[in-house]
Amino acid sequence: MANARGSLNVDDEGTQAQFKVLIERGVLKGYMYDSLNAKLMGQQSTGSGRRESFKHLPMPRMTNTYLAPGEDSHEDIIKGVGKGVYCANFGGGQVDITNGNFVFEVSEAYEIRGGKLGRPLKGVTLIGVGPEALKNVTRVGNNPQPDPGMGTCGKDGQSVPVGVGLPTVRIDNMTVGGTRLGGAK
Amino acid sequence: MSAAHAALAKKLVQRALKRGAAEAEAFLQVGRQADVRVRDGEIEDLTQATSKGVGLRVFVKRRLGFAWTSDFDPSTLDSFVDRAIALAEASAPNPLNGLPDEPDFGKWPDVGPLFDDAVASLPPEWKINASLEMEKVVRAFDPRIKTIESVGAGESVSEVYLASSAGVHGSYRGTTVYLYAAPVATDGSQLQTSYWYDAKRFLGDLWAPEAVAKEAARRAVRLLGATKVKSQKVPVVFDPTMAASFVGTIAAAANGDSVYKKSSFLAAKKGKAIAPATVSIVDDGLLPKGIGTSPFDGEGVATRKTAIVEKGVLRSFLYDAFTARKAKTKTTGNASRGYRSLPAIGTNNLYLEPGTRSPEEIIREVGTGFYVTAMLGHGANLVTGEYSRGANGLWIENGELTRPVQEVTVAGNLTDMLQDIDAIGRDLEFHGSTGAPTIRFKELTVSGE
Repeated sequence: MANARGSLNVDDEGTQAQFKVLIERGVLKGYMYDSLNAKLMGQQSTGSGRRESFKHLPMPRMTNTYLAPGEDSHEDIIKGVGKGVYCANFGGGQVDITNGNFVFEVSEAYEIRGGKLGRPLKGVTLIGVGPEALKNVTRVGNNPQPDPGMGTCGKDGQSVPVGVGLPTVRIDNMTVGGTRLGGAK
Repeated sequence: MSAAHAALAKKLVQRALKRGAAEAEAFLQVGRQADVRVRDGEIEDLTQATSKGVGLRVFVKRRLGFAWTSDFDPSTLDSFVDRAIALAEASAPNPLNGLPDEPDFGKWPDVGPLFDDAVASLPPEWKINASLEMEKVVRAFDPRIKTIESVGAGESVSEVYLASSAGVHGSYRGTTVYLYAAPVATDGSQLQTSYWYDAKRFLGDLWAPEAVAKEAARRAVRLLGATKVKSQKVPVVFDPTMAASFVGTIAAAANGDSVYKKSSFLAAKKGKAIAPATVSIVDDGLLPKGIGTSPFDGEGVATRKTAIVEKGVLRSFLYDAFTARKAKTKTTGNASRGYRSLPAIGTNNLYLEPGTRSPEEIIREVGTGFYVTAMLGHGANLVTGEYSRGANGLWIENGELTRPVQEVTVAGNLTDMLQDIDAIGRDLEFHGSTGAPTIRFKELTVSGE
């Protein structure tokens, strides 16, 4: 991707960086490999071998990862929600990559009632299982939005610059954590 | 220990003074680490690394300069000292800059042995065999353990030499040895991961590989079939590992720098009862054989035992010399660092003092509740005290551990959570430098479906 924060000409093992489709029309298509793990799996490196600096060994890492836009407008997606939470910004998060369990702290969230954005919410946490949450994506917006260019991905003590982006999406039946019961869900 | 390294640290300080520093301090560290990981009965990864370096802190007219190098060649060291001085001259003065004040260094305590020859000379075969044994035990524990994320063993040896123009110089050395296992259990529809590890200074104190493997396997298998629960407010029990993480959160809020900046929910509560009288949280730099034990901190101040919370009352925050000066108080010997960084506030051996109750008893008293054995996410806001984390564990019904639970959050406010600790176990465990017994909170919000 031109001018994107996670873009590379070649990865940190000298393999040319590529455009890779991970999921296409809901079907898992490909993985990201560095050369070692590609060989272990009998595959080709996807140019994903990245390292933080000369002091580190390469491992498979993302570059710019995004969710392709759909057809719905942002406004329509919000309008279609009777009771929910609009997450405008995420704080920290953690994912157990073995089973897909994830937790994300939402640093900017608003209540949605009757299709309208309402009061801001604090202390909102989203929790779920990745594969299940993906299946519950019911609307995808036509407003692709790259992140503002501050993304850093940490893994096994190595940080690399990355880009991430997605349009507005609606995910049904997410568990929202907080201290008060019976709130937005 | 090496006399040459001790002499080098002193020489750098002398040279810095000669080149115009009012005060100077050299922190020299030599270390080596080794780690073995196995997979499917074979070595997957075997690493050995050595490191050495020295950090030089100089003060010129209350201006701070800092440089570090890992090149001990005499010609390099000469220009290295000049560089630290030049950096100081280029930086802005701060009247609070400087080494710890003379009376605050204190007398270095005798902390007992921290170095085990058996660890320092641990052969790779020992680690390989221990790792292979753990892998075998994990797999044999239950047929539903199909794969292992990682299983391994390792050790590290570290020597620290400190010299400063305040007339302080000394050294210590220590060893650490550890085992870890992270199995993956599956029942066909669900994957559950867990891990267990143990780290000790002495090989004789380390858990047996078999025990580490069994605990790791038990913790993964018992989560199989986990589901959400209905959202509700219930008593929540944290097992010792989760309680230790909670204690770490409280200690982070007691960091003197956060308190000075008023960015801690504990900032205005010194001297007040913030928890029941059964709660005492201690940072003990003197704990015998503790992973975080040392005779002096990163700027040469004697380590000590500091009660952060004593019988429920917030007694002390943690300080290094600079932050203590800002806050018009005294350092608590909590300057933590490596040779590549300036001192910053950290904990030594941090723990919640044990109570008298057995964990079984603490669970038995709960009608309906949640026993938390793993958490996901950082989830604690030290400024507001808001606490919300993803949690896995076992549901408690009529005082018994029943079905496994996942995909829920436990949430509360740290201020209320401290007050709501209504049971403390006698099962204080250390697997690193932070330890805690089982604890129970009167009520937390569990959000599920």
